[in-house]
Amino acid sequence: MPQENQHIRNFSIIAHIDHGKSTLADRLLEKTGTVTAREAQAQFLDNMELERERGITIKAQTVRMIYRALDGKEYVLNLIDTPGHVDFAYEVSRSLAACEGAVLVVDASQGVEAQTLANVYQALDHDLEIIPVINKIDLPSADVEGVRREIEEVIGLDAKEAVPTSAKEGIGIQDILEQIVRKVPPPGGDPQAALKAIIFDSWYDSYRGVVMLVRVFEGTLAPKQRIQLFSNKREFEVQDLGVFAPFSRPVTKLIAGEVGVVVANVKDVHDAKVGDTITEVGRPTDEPFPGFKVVKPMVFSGVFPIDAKDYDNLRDALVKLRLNDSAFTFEPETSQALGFGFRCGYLGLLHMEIVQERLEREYELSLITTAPSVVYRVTDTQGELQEIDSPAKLPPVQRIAKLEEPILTCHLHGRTDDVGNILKLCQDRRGVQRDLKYIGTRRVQITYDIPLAEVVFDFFDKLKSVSRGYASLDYELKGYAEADLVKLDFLLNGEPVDALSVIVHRDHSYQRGRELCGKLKEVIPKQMYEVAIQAAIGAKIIARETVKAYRKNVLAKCYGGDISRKRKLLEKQKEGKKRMKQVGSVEIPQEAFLAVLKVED
Amino acid sequence: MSARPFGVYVHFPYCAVHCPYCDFAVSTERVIPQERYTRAVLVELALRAPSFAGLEPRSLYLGGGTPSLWDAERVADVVTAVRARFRLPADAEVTLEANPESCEPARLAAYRGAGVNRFSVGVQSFDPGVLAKLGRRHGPEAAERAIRAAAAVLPNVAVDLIYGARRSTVATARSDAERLAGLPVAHVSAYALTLDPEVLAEEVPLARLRRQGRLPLPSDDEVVAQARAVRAALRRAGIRRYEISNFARAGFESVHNRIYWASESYLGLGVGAFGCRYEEGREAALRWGNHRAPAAYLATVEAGRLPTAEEERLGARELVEERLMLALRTRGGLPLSELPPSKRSEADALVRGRLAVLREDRLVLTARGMEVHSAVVERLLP
Repeated sequence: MPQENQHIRNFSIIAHIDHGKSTLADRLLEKTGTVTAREAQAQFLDNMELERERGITIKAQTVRMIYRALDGKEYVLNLIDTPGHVDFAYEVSRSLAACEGAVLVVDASQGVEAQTLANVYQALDHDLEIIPVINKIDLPSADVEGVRREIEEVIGLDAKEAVPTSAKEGIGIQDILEQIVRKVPPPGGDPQAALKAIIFDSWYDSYRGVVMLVRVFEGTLAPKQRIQLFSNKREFEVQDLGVFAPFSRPVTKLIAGEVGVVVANVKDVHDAKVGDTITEVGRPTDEPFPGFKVVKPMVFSGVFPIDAKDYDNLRDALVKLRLNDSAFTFEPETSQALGFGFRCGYLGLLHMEIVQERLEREYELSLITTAPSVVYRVTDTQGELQEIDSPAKLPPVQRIAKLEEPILTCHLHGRTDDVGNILKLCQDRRGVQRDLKYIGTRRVQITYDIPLAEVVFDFFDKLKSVSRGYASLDYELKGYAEADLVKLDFLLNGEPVDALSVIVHRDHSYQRGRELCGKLKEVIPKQMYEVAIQAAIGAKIIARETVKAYRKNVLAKCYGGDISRKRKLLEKQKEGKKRMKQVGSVEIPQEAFLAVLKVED
Repeated sequence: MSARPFGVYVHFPYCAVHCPYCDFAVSTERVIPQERYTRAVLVELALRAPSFAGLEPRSLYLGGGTPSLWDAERVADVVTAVRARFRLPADAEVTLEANPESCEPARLAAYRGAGVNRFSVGVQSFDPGVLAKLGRRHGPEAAERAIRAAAAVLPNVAVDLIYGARRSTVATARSDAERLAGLPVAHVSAYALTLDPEVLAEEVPLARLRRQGRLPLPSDDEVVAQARAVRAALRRAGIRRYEISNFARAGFESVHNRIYWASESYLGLGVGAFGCRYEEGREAALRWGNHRAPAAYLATVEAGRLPTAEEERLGARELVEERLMLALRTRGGLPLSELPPSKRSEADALVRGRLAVLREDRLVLTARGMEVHSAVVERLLP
């Protein structure tokens, strides 16, 4: 007996940033008549302004397409778009879990990148059928056969049928659709069984409450159904079900194998965690969908309003952001230098930048973000273990018995030409080599254990620059290791500015202190007073720079009409300083607090 | 309680040549319409005078332009009219700006006869190189002769100097100040050449050259050193600084200019002149500027209308800002009672940093503080 879900294909697209995922998605939507070319002109899937600017996907998206294949039958193709950055690796894994197949996009001139590789391995772990596509064949530098070989050598996939494509020119699109229909298996699952669906994304909508993006594996979701979330056993009633095609439209049920949205009067996005299983009250499924975990922030920074009056607005904005972002955390923090603010937690630096930009753009707040810190484990002399996410919280050195820091296992993928540079960078960042494999004649895969704190500090940018953009990085948390770390403090005119403190390895502390003093000198503008910048470890000053006071400004006449012009100039200058924080007698621009991220080696 | 004071400024826009650093309203028409312009100024006086009723006049200042090109009889008409209109006291300060080229003894005596009791001579420098680069036509000897001629007519002679110009050095600045100190001069205004577009009324030719990168000027450090040299030389001669750019022998401080720095009202008459009238209670004020083009000015006034080209209403905030900005330019400083209360700690920091001192409950900038006056004021703005 033919099952009701045999015509469904659930797939995602795996691609490195810039390899053309969004353009390909647009072509698929066009070819299936889901959207018109005009609608697709603004790449449809990346619908967040920030995402479009950065060319990456932050939130998962889905779209349902109807495709009449060459066999004359109609198929429902669900494209599940995955986030595209290493910060969101867990979300990627959950999106992949919702699919049976994946289209792997490889750039015809760039070849396979580490990020892609990591996602391909994840896809293979989920037993997805992978359809390789060689994109951008219209470029003069395209090397289709070379890339085909590379896919076979590097990934171990059969690339004989890899589709030569130009998403930009619309070449190869139908072949891709046909291969999806032919090769991606239809979903299994019994619509009559007990309900088992996983949440692979969720967000807060001010009209409907929490919206959950789900994949049903067993059973059927229907309105009025009582459902239960496996992790916290909370119960809700289904209000609405829908699919995106590409705009949201209601449906009366979602059966095993289908993908769609569920609205069930969930008020808090933290109740609808990505990866959690939905089942039904009264007839729960035996086992939850495997692989659920609560994602925890890896990187923390202080966020302070430049104007103390904005504190309440900042809190409101953070509350709103958290509604939509279960990985983001915040709690109140007080800094002697910056006053009242919040300690925020992020998945990684990209996530941090996104949050920061949204706060400034969408909520129009002028903020100071302090240098990111990882979570250290401190064992004090009493034997007590404590986790600290801010240099300011580090106990005095004489009370510390053991200090541990998080270590990442980093997978780096680059060209053989750049191996020396990449290894040097990893060594400089206190890395320990675990593996080095040449793949073919041109590529190398390097595995290093590197402290997270070292990766946080512009490692990725450095990697790109030492490899002329070719190397890529993927990582996972390995664990904690003891390290000889010290707190580096900075003083401006003799006053310690707690928000500038960083924790660094003792071996690097003098160099970092000098570099940071130099960087602070660059970014702190000349002011009325000379500004002495000092780096200190404990009571010992290890580096010093001076920002000279400026010598004069306008010793001109001031009569009659001069008065208005001069006053307006002063008002303008004062307005310009609004993005500076005055600490003691020193005006510090926002970028000074992130100077630690910008130090050139 | 005595009425609040005000000063009268009359602008005479005509010049033989337009100096390339000057942003005042200037016209270089070949034939100066002496009668017509004078009539217009008198009409404007009649139009504007009523709004200054109740205030007490203190000074009259004839600036330019080159008011020493104004016929003495016409100047007499203006001085007489202002005196009559406002009952200006007999000993009130009446200044006329004079160019060195027009300082012939007979002419100066005629101005004295017209009621002028103070001359301000635009010397700028005694260095031929600096003068040439400033576009001035007189040489050092003419400047010295002019000062002596003015002093022979009136005891109260003021002189303008410019430093920080092309070719200016610490040596030229010092020698200019020393040379002045040896002359019968009661008052000196010493200005750093200012080509900053935001404080100029229009882009003057030197500012344009500067913008185009074609005018190398001394560095800020060098300009500060020149200013210090000027100050030191004047101080040695007993000419004391009483405002950022102004110095005087005791008792010869400019009455008129102190009206601006004390945030009092002033009536501006003539092309491009500015006036400002504080309301009773001083919670608000109106500042206006006249047409800068003589043709527009004359036509408007002759049609019986006010020649106002721009107008600005100043509220409490603007007045506080200006008060801070202007009072801190002066040796008297700002009464602490007028400092925004939230800025008290800022003022203490200025004192600790030696940019200011507290003197009899007033915040007074030190010499170092005056060099960075803008930055100091910006910190104190509410």
